[in-house]
Amino acid sequence: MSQGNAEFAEFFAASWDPCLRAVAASTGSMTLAEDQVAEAFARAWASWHKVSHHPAPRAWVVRTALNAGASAWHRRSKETALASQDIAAADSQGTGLDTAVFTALRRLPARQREVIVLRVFLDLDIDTTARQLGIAPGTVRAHLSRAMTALRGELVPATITETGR
Amino acid sequence: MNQDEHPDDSALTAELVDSLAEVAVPERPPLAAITGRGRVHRRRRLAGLAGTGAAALIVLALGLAGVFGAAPGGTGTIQTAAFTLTSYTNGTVSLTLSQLFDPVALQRALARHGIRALVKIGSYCSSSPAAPSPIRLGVLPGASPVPAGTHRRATPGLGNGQGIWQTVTLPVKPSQLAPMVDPISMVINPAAMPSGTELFIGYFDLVQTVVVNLIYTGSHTCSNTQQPPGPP
Repeated sequence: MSQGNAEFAEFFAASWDPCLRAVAASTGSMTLAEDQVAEAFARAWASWHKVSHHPAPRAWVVRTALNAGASAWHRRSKETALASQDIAAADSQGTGLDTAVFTALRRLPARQREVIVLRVFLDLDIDTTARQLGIAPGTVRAHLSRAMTALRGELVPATITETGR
Repeated sequence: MNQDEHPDDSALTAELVDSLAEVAVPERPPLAAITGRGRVHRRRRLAGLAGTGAAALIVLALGLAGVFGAAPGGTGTIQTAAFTLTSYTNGTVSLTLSQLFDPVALQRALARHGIRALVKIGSYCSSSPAAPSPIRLGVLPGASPVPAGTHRRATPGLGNGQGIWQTVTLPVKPSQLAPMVDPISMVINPAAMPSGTELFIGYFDLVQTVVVNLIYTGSHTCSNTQQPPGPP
């Protein structure tokens, strides 16, 4: 195994689970996420000379997976897309994706959700998140703030109610 | 998280992270399955084959099929791993981008084919007032603007979905070009370029989009960005 292949193998082993979780959390479907993430890793391998020098290779994989999903979504007919939504709802059962947290997350606008995925789930800093999304750091902060406010609105009251009993 | 954020954010962030950690994931696929799939991408890139139906979308969007068919024999070709430039006796030049390219090398090669160009990666250049549309002038024969909404889905977050004014945005979807998997082709007619203008070719990795436009040589500005701006 060449050095590049060995590096990729190490990256793949260490990054598969977190990348898949992040994409699944965003899409709501483990089945779809699994295919999208596999495709993203395949593309990462095909261009490992470039991806290995990326400042945040996991973010590259997640963004590529999410973009591939958006593209696939676009290609589908409306009927198929609606069917896929049903599949997504069904295959979230029992994976942990059917919790209030992920339900609330998927209610966010796509850009806010992407910020949460990169900033919170992949733990990128604001500047790296901004570079990944091609937007200004201030815009990342704004999206993050709005997303957290929305999530707080959905999640924190329930927590307070529970602890207040 | 910083001091500007809501005091509940730390707890909320922890809750999000904890929830994510609890998500059950299926077993990782064998590495060989991933590299096998990756080899398909490499082969497509190296062979320059349009291996997916979606790749045909690029050709359709540019309307190039007839142009290539009508082009006379090539008179000179520069071929690198990243791009191929071929001059034709009718004065047009075909450019095929097959992988992430060296902008300086491409710019020099274009100059050798008589095309004044500014090639950038991750930087958008424009003139104010804007130079004439390269499509209307016939600088990019056979090309047509991307229909409204085409790149909205292809490149999420790119803009308002109305197309980029006076530019040709190849609707390169991530499935085709992430990173730069399938080749992109265009025909350039340098004779149609007005005096004092040059061709701007920009590649934006994040949104995997190639933008082609005219700019004024002596009056343009460039700004680093990972995605081209929306229409003015």
